[in-house]
Amino acid sequence: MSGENQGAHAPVEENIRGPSVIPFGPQHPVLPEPLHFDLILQDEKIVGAVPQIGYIHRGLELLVEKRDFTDYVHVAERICGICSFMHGMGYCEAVEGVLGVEIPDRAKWLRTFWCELERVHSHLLWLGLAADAFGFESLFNAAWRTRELVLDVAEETSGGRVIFGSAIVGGVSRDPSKETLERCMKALKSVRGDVARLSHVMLEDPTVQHRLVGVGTLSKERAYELGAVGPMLRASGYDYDARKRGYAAYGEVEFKSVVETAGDSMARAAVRIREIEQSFAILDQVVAKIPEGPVSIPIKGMPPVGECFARLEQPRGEVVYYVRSNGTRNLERFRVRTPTFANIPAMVEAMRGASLADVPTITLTIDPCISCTER
Amino acid sequence: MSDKEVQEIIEIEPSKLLSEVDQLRSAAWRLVQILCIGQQGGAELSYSFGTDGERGLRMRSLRFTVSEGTNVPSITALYPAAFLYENEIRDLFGVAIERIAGDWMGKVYDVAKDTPFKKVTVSPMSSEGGIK
Amino acid sequence: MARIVFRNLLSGPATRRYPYVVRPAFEGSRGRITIDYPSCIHCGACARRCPAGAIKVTREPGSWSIDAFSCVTCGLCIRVCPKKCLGMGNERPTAVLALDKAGRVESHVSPPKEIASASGASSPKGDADA
Repeated sequence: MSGENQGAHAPVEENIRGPSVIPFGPQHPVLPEPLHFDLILQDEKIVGAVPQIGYIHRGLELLVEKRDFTDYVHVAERICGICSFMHGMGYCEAVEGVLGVEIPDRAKWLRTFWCELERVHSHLLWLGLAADAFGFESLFNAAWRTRELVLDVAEETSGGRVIFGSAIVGGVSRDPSKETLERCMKALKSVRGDVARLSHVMLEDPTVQHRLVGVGTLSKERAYELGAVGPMLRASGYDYDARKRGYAAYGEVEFKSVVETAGDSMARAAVRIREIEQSFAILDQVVAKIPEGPVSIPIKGMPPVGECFARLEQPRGEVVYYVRSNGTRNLERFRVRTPTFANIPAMVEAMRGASLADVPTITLTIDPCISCTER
Repeated sequence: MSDKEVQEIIEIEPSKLLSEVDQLRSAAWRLVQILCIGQQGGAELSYSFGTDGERGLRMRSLRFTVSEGTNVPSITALYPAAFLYENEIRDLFGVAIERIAGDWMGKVYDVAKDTPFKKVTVSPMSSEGGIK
Repeated sequence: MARIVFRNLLSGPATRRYPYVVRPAFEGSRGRITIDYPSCIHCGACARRCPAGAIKVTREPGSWSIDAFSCVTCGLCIRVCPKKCLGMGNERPTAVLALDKAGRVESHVSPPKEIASASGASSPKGDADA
């Protein structure tokens, strides 16, 4: 590879040995998905990192030209397992923007419900993986056990544990009744208690603080310049949450974005944990305010020629969907810019100056979802 | 799409790309994405920048079309994070972007076929093959 | 700390002892596709639209089959069937079925149709439309 981003090489000073290069990944016990780094080390300190992606590129964007535009939502959902509902929903929002249709209100609120449920399950998954990254396996298992109850709620309302399968162009395909939704919220009460207990361990335990505080610090200006999104940006003090756009029912629920100022790994952990609590508050509002009515509208005929950008807030950050239609049943272009794609330069910058043992922790603090990145 | 966001798409000349991007950078806009749509004999590029805060939630996309073989300057000198997008576009669509800081030399996805997303003109003879 | 240790000693394992204890599926869970075969007209819409290519339909002789392990239970076939003869159960096929090739593919075959008239001028109904 020629050069690396920013061209930062440590000068070979008194050391007779120059920097050494250590490969990290693509198979590594802490990585949920394959990602490769060439870490350039001076003694134990990282002076540069060259990322390499492309291990699970499936070319899903090209498949949109071969499938009917109403059928493609099932492929879009399977871009990633953790953020699957939002991929399906983002595709539907972009296509509905091209078609110029407005979906029924109940469908908007149900989509919000499933979005927040997905945020809870994704952050709990992240909590487990981040704890595993620095060796805290019992917290990992406790977080994932708590997550099982969330997945049960997802299965009861939508039919699937991680791939919900409920977003379709024109609305949603399932209509859980009010009793089902209220029963699920009651079942999630124990999850809230568990999350409070786990967050106390993650944020207050001195051994965890020793591993997370001061590691991978990113200042507010650098995070913004490098295009970081999501909790990575909000933990450095910049308040940007794509839910403020007001898509689905977010214009009608009240929430404040969660912002921390320290910019290190502990701040990112705190942002995600507080977002779980915030998601529960949003879920309460959704179940209380959801209106009755139809949940989908029929979509027939050819879409008009046009294009649409849609921005959503996935658990990992801001995601941008682009759809262009040429008037036939197959779309011309579909493009997803996932949050991890935008966070990789910020991650590489955060690694500079850290020691080798902190590399897994820093990799996990951006919550990498490489399946999304490479589609 | 919703009322709280303003999205605009502006057509620009390819030669003005760097100056327009520099103006947005001075105004502290954030790079949101770089999009490429393959077309017969070229590609259409859209560079999207976003801002929020006091200016309101806005996204502006700069769009232009290049024909095959035209060089496009890289914006990594202004936005270093653009290297990922530009490498991917060069690999998958074959658009000639030059002087990317952080160049993977065509090995982003390392797929079996070069530039798999590029639209090629299908010649009418190739699908028939032979004399009927 | 001692309280947690004591509690863990007294309670059993936190996991379910699958396959001896099976969690019952929820009412709305997505599971195997079921078909009311006599109503099927073999139009092939479900086979064309299936994103996983799990359904295979032939017009003559009429048959319909689905590979339970290719099926992703998206439910698209149910929505596009013009006769509404497809449905979805709530149990997914189990891992044991993977070894049994005959069990994982559910197929139905229509009995052969008889010639309607002796002159052979008219073809049996159902195959007339191309």
